[in-house]
Amino acid sequence: MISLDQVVFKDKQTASRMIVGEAIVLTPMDSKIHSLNDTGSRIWELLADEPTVGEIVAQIHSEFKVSEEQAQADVIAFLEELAAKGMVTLGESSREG
Amino acid sequence: MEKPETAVKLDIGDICVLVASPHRQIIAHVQDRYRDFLSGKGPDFEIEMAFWGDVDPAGFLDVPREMLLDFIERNLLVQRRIEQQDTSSHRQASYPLRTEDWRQRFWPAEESGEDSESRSRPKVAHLDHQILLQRSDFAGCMDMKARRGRNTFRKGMETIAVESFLRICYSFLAIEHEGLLLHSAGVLRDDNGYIFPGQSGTGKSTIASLATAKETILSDEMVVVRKSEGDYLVYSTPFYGTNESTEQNIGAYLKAAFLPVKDDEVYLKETRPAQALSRLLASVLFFSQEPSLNERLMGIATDVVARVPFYEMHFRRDASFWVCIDEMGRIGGI
Repeated sequence: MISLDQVVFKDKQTASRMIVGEAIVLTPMDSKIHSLNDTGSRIWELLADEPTVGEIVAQIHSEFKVSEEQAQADVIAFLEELAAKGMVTLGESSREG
Repeated sequence: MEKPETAVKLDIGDICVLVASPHRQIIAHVQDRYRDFLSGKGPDFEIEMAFWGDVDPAGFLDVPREMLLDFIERNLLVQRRIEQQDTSSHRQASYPLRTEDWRQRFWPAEESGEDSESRSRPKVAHLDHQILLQRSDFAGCMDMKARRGRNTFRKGMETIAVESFLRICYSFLAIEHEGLLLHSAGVLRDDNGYIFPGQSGTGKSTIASLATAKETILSDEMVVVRKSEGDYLVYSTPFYGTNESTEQNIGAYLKAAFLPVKDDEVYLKETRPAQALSRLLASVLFFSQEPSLNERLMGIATDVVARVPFYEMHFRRDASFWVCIDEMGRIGGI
């Protein structure tokens, strides 16, 4: 179960590019190429700063026309999918300070 | 590398690989199968090939024996089947049997079942600067620092094992030389090169088979794309699909890339850069699990998409798509 204070990292094995606003991610363990949609690409872009799940939710809520509850549900479902595909890892707890 | 009896040099994508072996049978096979791609240049990489059984695979490849147990066991099983058919033979196997769950220590979790794709895809492990590759029919390694590799396989498996290992070697070497080994048909027309990247079933062989006297086929299966002085060149390869191998080692300016889509209508459609990158990456033959190499691959593919016009090409089983390509050339789209 993903919690809001967990930190999200791009998996070190992946290679990715943002190209005209769209993220393409290579996961070498299964040799798959993943194309992300607008929102997915924005979340992938946010991962450069190694944010917490809560920070991603707040950003998506402010940038896209969705309620905070909806943003939280969508972001968590998306991160679960990314984690299952080996694209991200989630830290156990929030950063200090 | 120990003194081989003989060796042969190949030039694919302007990258020269020396293949050496103590077995004349292997060299004769390479000389014949790749006869249009032999080279007199200095090698960029050296590969020694030897028959399994004549060499101990772990010693030959200089890797821990337990990493090769899957390969050894599979080949022992084949050897035993052959020996059972020959009642005069009573040789005993001298390799240790599997005693622990070694697989989990070195390899990613096994996929459930083994379809033909997972059987043909080698397992890859990185050991410092060595890359270990194995499949049921061969085990090989590449030392990217020492610029040499080794490959061992059963007698009688030359055709498949040599070809597979060469394709894999060239997939790594292409990246090192700012290039890509691509699943793609390649065609030369009016001194310009065109590629049609796609996985199996997308129409590469069909496109190649529709060539007229005006076109020269670079390959119906795989081409090398490499950067040269700011432009990309496309090279023919001896790696072919359903058609015969090209008989010419050619490099040409890469004018455009077309992503084939079988259809009743014939037209070209612009692609989004991300779509072109995704489709191009899906066509690259690449096996690395090493982040820096994957990053390099991504960088080269992104650069190709930025510099080469990409279109989705809807086509039917005739040569009419060339009319669309010529028209696109006339209006300056490529």
